[in-house]
Amino acid sequence: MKFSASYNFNPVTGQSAMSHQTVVDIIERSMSDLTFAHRFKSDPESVLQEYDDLTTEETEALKSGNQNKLNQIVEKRANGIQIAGIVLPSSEA
Amino acid sequence: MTTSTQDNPIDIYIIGTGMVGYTQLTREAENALQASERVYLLDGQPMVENHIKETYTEDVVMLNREYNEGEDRVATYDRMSEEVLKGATEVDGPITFALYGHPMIFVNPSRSVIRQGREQGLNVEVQPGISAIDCVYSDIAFDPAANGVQMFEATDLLLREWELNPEVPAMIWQVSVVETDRHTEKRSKESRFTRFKEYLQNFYPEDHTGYLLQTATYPIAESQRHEFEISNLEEMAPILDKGYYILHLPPINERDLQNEELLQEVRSEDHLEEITVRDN
Repeated sequence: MKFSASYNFNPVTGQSAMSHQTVVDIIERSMSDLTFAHRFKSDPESVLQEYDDLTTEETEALKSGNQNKLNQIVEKRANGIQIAGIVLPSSEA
Repeated sequence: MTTSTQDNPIDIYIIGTGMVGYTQLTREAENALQASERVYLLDGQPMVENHIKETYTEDVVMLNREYNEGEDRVATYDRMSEEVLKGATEVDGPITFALYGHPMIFVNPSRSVIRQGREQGLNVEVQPGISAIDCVYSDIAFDPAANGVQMFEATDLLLREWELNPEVPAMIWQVSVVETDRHTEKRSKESRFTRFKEYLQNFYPEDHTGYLLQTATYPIAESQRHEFEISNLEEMAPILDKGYYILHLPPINERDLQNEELLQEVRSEDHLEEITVRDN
């Protein structure tokens, strides 16, 4: 089975909105389907052949398993929150 | 006004969603979500929001949008807790305040919800979650039973000048955001880390090795470990800017046994008899 979506390029982010959603879908599936997660980690190349709407950048990030690259693609807010943290020094808490 | 009912006396559940999307939700956190009419969520992963909406309730309020460039984080956290407390009076039934990680570890808004909620007569229940430190311990197979552990927040370490014990493994949180209590998306200059590096050098030799640890937050991602000599900490600025790291400083040496006499007693059956008594 091949998963695809229409190409909808965003000139501001340089991303396809649909392929961005595909990255989210792949990660989401890895959270609910352990077999898929194991298959992806052992052979990402063959799993990614099932998706034909990913950009080169997204494919590389997924294959690398690099947390920060994936964060940048999936949800910029995620990185922002993590960098900001949600704590203050305990003396002020 | 409270929203607790005879069936459920809780007004506000405070839970942690863990570090890896929704996969580390505990059973009791799931029960809290199941019982809730509305969920206030502070978690940047869209998968978590999707999961809660699909599984528990469509009524999810995202608190991520409260962060503003340059704003004092106290003001941000105050707004978040006010919104949660207001929510508890708006719905018929419990609400959940869900935060990524553990809701009590390196988190502020949950504490104000507990304090102010109880002042307002609300029943607030806190449930533990899986913290970044739990994941890091697994990533590097670290056991604090071996040599102990000392843990500090980076800015607090400098503000209160905590004495580091170089014979005890150190875990320093939030080095990426050292020296500010304001939120920013801007990247750090290398010089931002100079004072912090010099502080560490009061306790460790220049060539001591540190590790920046980042646990994977997606099942298909890899946890990261960046090794460096603490004299080169400033050069790690580009890495520190990219994510949330815990700085691990291993001990300079393994501490020798100081009390040989006690060791003999620890291993002795006679001593066990001396320090215990059997209940009748």
